[in-house]
Order: sequence, then structure tokens, then C-alpha cells
Amino acid sequence: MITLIVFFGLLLTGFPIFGAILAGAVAFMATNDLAVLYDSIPIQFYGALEINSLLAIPLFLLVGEIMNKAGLTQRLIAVAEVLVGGLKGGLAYANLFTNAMAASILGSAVAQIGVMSKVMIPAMERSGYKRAFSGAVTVSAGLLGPIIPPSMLMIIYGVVAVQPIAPLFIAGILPGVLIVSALAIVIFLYGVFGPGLPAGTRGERSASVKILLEGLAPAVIPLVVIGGIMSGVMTPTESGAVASIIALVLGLVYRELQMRDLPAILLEVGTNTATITGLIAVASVLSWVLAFQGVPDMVVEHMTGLTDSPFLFLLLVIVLMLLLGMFLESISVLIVVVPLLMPVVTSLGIDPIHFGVVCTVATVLGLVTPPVGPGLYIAIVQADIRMWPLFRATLPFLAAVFAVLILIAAVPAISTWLPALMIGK
Amino acid sequence: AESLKLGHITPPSHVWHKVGEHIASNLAEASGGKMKITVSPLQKLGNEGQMINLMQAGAVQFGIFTAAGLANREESFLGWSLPYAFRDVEHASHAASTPAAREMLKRLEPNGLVGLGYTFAGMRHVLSLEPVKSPKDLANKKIRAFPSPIYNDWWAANGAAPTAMPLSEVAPSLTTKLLDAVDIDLDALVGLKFHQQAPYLTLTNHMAFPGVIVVSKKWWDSRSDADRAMITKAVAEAEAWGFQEAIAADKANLVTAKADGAKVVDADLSSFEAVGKQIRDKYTAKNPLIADFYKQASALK
Amino acid sequence: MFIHTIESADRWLASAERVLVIALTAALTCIMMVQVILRYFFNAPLFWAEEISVQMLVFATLFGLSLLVHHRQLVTIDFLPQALSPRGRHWLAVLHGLLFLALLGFVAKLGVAWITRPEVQIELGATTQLPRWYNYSALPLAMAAMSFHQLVGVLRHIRDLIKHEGAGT
Ligand code: NA
Ligand code: NA
Repeated sequence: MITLIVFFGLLLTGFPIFGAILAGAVAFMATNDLAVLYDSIPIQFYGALEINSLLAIPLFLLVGEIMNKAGLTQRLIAVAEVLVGGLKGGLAYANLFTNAMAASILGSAVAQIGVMSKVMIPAMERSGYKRAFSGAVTVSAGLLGPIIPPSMLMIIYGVVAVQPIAPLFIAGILPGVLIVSALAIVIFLYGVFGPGLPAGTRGERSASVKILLEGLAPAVIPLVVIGGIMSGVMTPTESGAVASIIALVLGLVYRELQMRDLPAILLEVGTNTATITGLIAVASVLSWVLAFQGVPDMVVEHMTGLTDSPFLFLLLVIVLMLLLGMFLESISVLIVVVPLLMPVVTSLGIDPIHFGVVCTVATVLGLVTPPVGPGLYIAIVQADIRMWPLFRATLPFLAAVFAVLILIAAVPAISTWLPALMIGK
Repeated sequence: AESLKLGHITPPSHVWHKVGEHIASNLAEASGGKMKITVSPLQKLGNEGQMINLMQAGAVQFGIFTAAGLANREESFLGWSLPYAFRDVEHASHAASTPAAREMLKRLEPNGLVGLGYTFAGMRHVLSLEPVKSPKDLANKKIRAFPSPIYNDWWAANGAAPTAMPLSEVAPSLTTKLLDAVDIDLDALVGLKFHQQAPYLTLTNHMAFPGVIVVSKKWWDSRSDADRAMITKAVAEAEAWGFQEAIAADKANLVTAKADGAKVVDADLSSFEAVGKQIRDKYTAKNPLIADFYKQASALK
Repeated sequence: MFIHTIESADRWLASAERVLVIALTAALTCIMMVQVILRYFFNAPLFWAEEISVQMLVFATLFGLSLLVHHRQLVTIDFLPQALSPRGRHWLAVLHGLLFLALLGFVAKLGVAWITRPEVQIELGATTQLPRWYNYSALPLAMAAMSFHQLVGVLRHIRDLIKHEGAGT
């Protein structure tokens, strides 16, 4: 109880989340007569970081940083415009399509929304779309970042739930396709029943061919990442390394990246990695001390007393994660909550890969729910929109993602069929 | 009732966990419900290093540790990892009552631990992507092995490259050929189904894999003589039960593994045994208790 | 005068950490890239690659965290403090700063106790066979560095508060 007061008290008054989790763990030890555990804090902290899977995090962050600096995003947008730009509301679909392609290179929703909103929102506005609607499409399509592989959230889930990363990555593909379809339907309905969508523009055929060819080069990255992992040729970490090499070479070839840009990029990657892995380290101290006192067993008892239906349990988890995700930083929620719930997942016979996909999509939604919604903030800053009009316009899209989430929770095969088919897991 | 903790690193399906549960029920019965042990699998109380610290402080009272891991604190436990020292699990469990094996337990005291007994997992074999008939087939291949100097020496002497890796990463690493083989017991093989990634099983039978049942010395010293006798008896009964359980499990697991598609390779073990002798000679020369233990265990053959 | 000296020490420490984080991130990326190339094209992987890279990741995390402390860039939820007056925010910052400082100092102290334990002193790395406590000492070092950054931050807030009070009267 005191732990909860310390934790939330610090968190809501603006204490660093890293420190609040650590303070919560120390408070728990102090108030449960477990001072003898203090000595183990450094071992637990250090040990939580000595995990091979975590190496994928800096590698995929590097791919993203290079991609942004090297102008690969613009090339993807041009390709999407050629493919779907001619439709009514073409630029909205192109936005969605670009995000789907970018998601197969990038691993983080906030990073993806940051890049895309800077470019896409002004472009859509120029073509006659409302700013809030443009923002809504960009923000919700950016959520694909951690659902379509590669994915930071899946790596984090894999580490805290002790699951292999490769099947988790593959498990995100079908849900990603479903979410793209759901978002496309919302755009379509907006055109039919809503205020309507501007007409599309089709470019010159010869120019189109040139754009498509230029776009082929960055498309090599998702081919390597997804293809390499699906065929079992590469580990997720290795695919991150290969993707970094390709992105670096492309950036240097396009002459939009120079060697002297690298130190700044590496510093950014290093500190962004530390933000994530630091949270994993302190959360592991907290999870361990809670486990020492048998808290997960109590959670199992309560949860299984509440329901023995896997689907109802998943619904409870979704509601819990969305509620916590409104007021807390949702990635921290994932890191703290998953270890507590894993024993329940096992006892109800839920596939941990299926659970990982449900948790990832629920976490992603938390990134764009106010008041604590980093995904909204970044779009607000990048495209100069106001919070409430943006959030209101985003709601129909979020409802669509939420509907897909419920579907994913109800039908395990959406998550488990493809990994089982590809790598027998 | 006094609420006690027993920690170990294996999953709940493992023999060690069952032995832990057995100790718990024996002690609950013997103490008339006064001593209640909660068994925590999968290093939930911490990894082995942490658990030793917690036992030294008396925060955890019981533990089942890998002998290979305890060798970091008391070198003589390396005796249990001598290649080809034991014919099978039954032979190894007989060796648990040799004077040298009991002496190893006594030597844990400076580490704040009281050693009460042993429990076994299956004999160690090789599971691989390509058939392994002799050490030649492992030349320059990456094999996942327990992180310990004797395992490293043994696999290096066979020409392979021993690699430390958590069990959760073994299956994907075999799929991506980051690993070529695993040094494994049949219990883990059947439980984790690694033969779906690496089908070839060579029954090298190269080492035993004992766990050591220990009690926190700090807690032990605070018990009455009657309590200590009661605990010793409860552990001894569970130990004997665990021996039979491990012997039966090793046989049953082979049947299950074969039925489930593991392909047993017809291998030439004499070349592995020759390498084993080099390693045995090195380690018996290093530590007199290891030498005594090897002598006493061999006499049981 | 005193505050200037420690502020420049603070900046110097941060630049050292910056160089370290850049070097570690570059090195671990290069090792993983080289590993992939050696494995697929030459079928001769580096046996130490993963073990070393993971240690580099640990160091990068620890000193990256220290930089985040220095730049006040650790993730926070700040919608409630935003509602306070500037003076209230300074007071809250001092209070939080002292608490965080105590927490970091505590972990630094535990870290020193950890690496000096006899059994930890003799622990060796699995493939490198080097004493593990060489690596482990990064934890107390980084925690001490974070404590220093945090101390300087608190002093700065206190100075601002004093100035503020002075201006008010
Ligand atoms: Na992605
Ligand atoms: Na939120």
C-alpha cells in the first residue's frame, strides 16, 4: 500500500519514472521487512540488462535515425502517392500506406509519428484536408510502427515475459494488416458519410516509374528484416544489424547523410536505448521484489477467481492497460504489468505470443490517449495542432484499432497462425 | 506457522521442483504444520548468486543449486562434471553417498550454506542440426553449454566452441543456425522440444547433472537440535525419492523423445571417452577431493 | 565561485560520458554487423561477439542514464507540476532532486558493497575468463556520476530559489 502511494505520488508530481519505480521497489522492501534484499538490487539491476535480445533495440533505433536523416521517408511517401494517390482521398490513403511501409522499417510509434507528422500533415493540408483530420490519420497510422515488425514493444515484451523475439515479430504481421484495413475503411466512410475527401491527383507516367524505381532501394530494408526473420535465416538482432548497414549505405549513396553526422546519431541512439533499457532494469528490481513476496501468486488467485475464460481475462487486461495507459507512460505500464500477469497467462493456457500481441496493441493505444499520450504530443508539436481537436478527430480511428484489438483477443489464430507456419513456434 | 522459502532455477515440471515440493510436504507433516515451505521455481527468488546471498542473510531458507554453479564457490563440486565418470543416473545417485560427495557438502559451510543432499537431472547428451558421430563432427561448431570452466574445457577439447546462452534463446538460435548444437539432458529436451529445431540426438552420456539441496546456515544455527534432526530426515526421504524419480524419468524421456521425432544417431563414443579422460586427468590433478571422489565413484561401477 | 567549479566539472563529466556512449554504441553496432558478415559469408562467427556486445550495451545504458540525468531528460509525467507557480515548481524540483539524489547514492553504495564481496571478486566471465567485477564496477561508477549530476542540479535549483527570494524582498 505504502509502495503504491510512493510510486503514484512521485510519478504524478513529475518524478522521473525511472526513479519512481526504483523508489517503489525500495519502499516495498522497507515496509515489508525485506531490508535484507537491498544488497541484491545491484545484481538484479545489472542482470536485467545482460540479455542478448536487448541488443536489437539500439540496432533498430539506429535504422530509424539513419532513415530519417537520409531522407528515405520522402522516397516512401512518393511511392505511396504513385500507388494510391489517384483515388478520392488519395493522399489520406497514401499517408496510411507510407506508414505501413515505414512501420516495416521503424520499431517505435512515437518516432514514426514524429517523422510522418512533420511531412504528411502539411502536405495533406495543402491538398485541402482539414488539419485535425490530417493529424488523426497520421497519428493513428503511426501506431503501426510497433505492430508490424520490427518492434521495440515486442522486444520489450519478449525480454520481460522471457519469450523469443522472432515469433513475436512474425505474430504482428496479420494484426498489422487488419489495422491497415480498418483504418482504410474509416477513411473511406469519412469520405462517404463525413465531410467528404478531396480528389486525388495522378502524376505523369514516366515520373511515376522513376519514383517507383527510386523507392525500391529503401524497400530492401523491410524485405531483409521481415524476410530474414520469417525464413529463419536471421535472428531479430542480426536483421537489425543488416538493416543498419543497408540504411547507412543508402544514406551515404543518396548523399543526404555524411560520416560527420554519425556521432550525433549514435549519441541519440545511445541515450534513447538507455531510456528504454533503464526502465527495464528498474522494473526488473520491482518485479523481483514483488515476486519474492508472492505478489504474482496473489494476482493469479484474484484473476482466476474473477474469471477462468481466457478471452474475458484478455478483456480485463486490455481495460487495465488502457486505464493505466491514460495516466502513466504506457511502455512503463507494459514493463511493470507483464511479469505480474505471466503466471495467470500460463495457468489459463493462453499462448504467450498471443498475449504479447494483445499487450502490444493495448500499449500502443495508450500512447495516444490523453492526458499522458506521447504520440499525440509529438504530432501537436510537429504540426502545430491543438490537443482536443486532434484527439476528437482521432477517435473514430482509435475505435477501429480498438475493434481490431478485441478481434485479436478473441481469435488467437490471428497472432499464432503465421509464426507457427513460418518457424514452427 | 513459520513461513519458509525454497528457491531453484528449473521449471515446475522438473524433478528438482518435485523434490522441493516433497521436502515441503514432509516437513509440514513432521512439524505438525508449523513449518510451511513455499517452493519458487524458475529463479523467481533470484539467480543462483543472488539466492546464495539471500540464504547467507537468512531471507531464503532452502535452495536447490546446480553443482556446476556451486563449483564457483567450492571447486570440488566440479567432480560431478567429470566426463564419463558415471554410467547413468543410477550410478551417479549411488555416488551421492560416497564420503567424498558428503565432504563436498560440508565444505559449503564457509559460504553460509549447510549441504543436506543431492538430486539429479538426466545424463547430458548432444542435440544437433547435423548428425554428430564423433568429436570431428563438432569441429568449430557452436554448442550451447552450461557456463562453467569444465564444460568449456570439455567442449573446447572436442574441437567445438562452447557458448553460454539462456535456455529461452536456444530454440530461435537453432532455427537461425546461430547455434549448431546443445549440450542437454532429456528432461529439458522433452520439455522444450528442441528436437523440432535440431532433430539429431547423440546419446553421448558425457556427464551427470546433480542439484545440491542446501539450507541457510544462519537459519539452521537458530534451530533446535530436534528441529535439525527433523529437517535432515525430511530432506533425506525426499532425496531418496528424487533418485528413483530421476532414474525413471531419464528412461521414460528417451522413449518420449524418440516417439516425438528425435533421431538417435549411431555414434562412436570411444573418441568422446578418450577426450573425456584428458579432462578428468586435468581436474583430478587440480583438486585432491575431486581425485578422491572420482576414485570412490569409479569403485561403485 | 564554488558552484562554477563544480558546474564545469559537471560539464566535463557529461562530455566524457557523451564520448563513451557514442563509442560504445558504435562499437556494439560494428561488432554485430561484423558478426553477421563473418557468419553468413565466411561461416566463421566470433565466439565472443554476443557476450562482449551485451556488456557494451550495459555500459551504454548506465552512462546513457547518467547523461539523461545531466540533461534532465529522464521520462516524467509532468501535467500536474505544469499547473504549479514557477516558485512552487522550484521547490518541488529541490524536494524531488534531493530524494532522487538519496536514491542514486543509496544504489551507488550498494553497488560498491556488491563488487567488493569476496565471492564476486573471484567470479570470472564465461568466455573471456576476465574477473566479472571489472564490468560490474560500471554500475557504482555510473550511479556515482548520476548522483553528482543530480547534486549539481539540486544546487542550481537552490541558487535559483535564493535569487528568486532576494528579488522578491
Ligand atoms: Na515496425
Ligand atoms: Na496515454
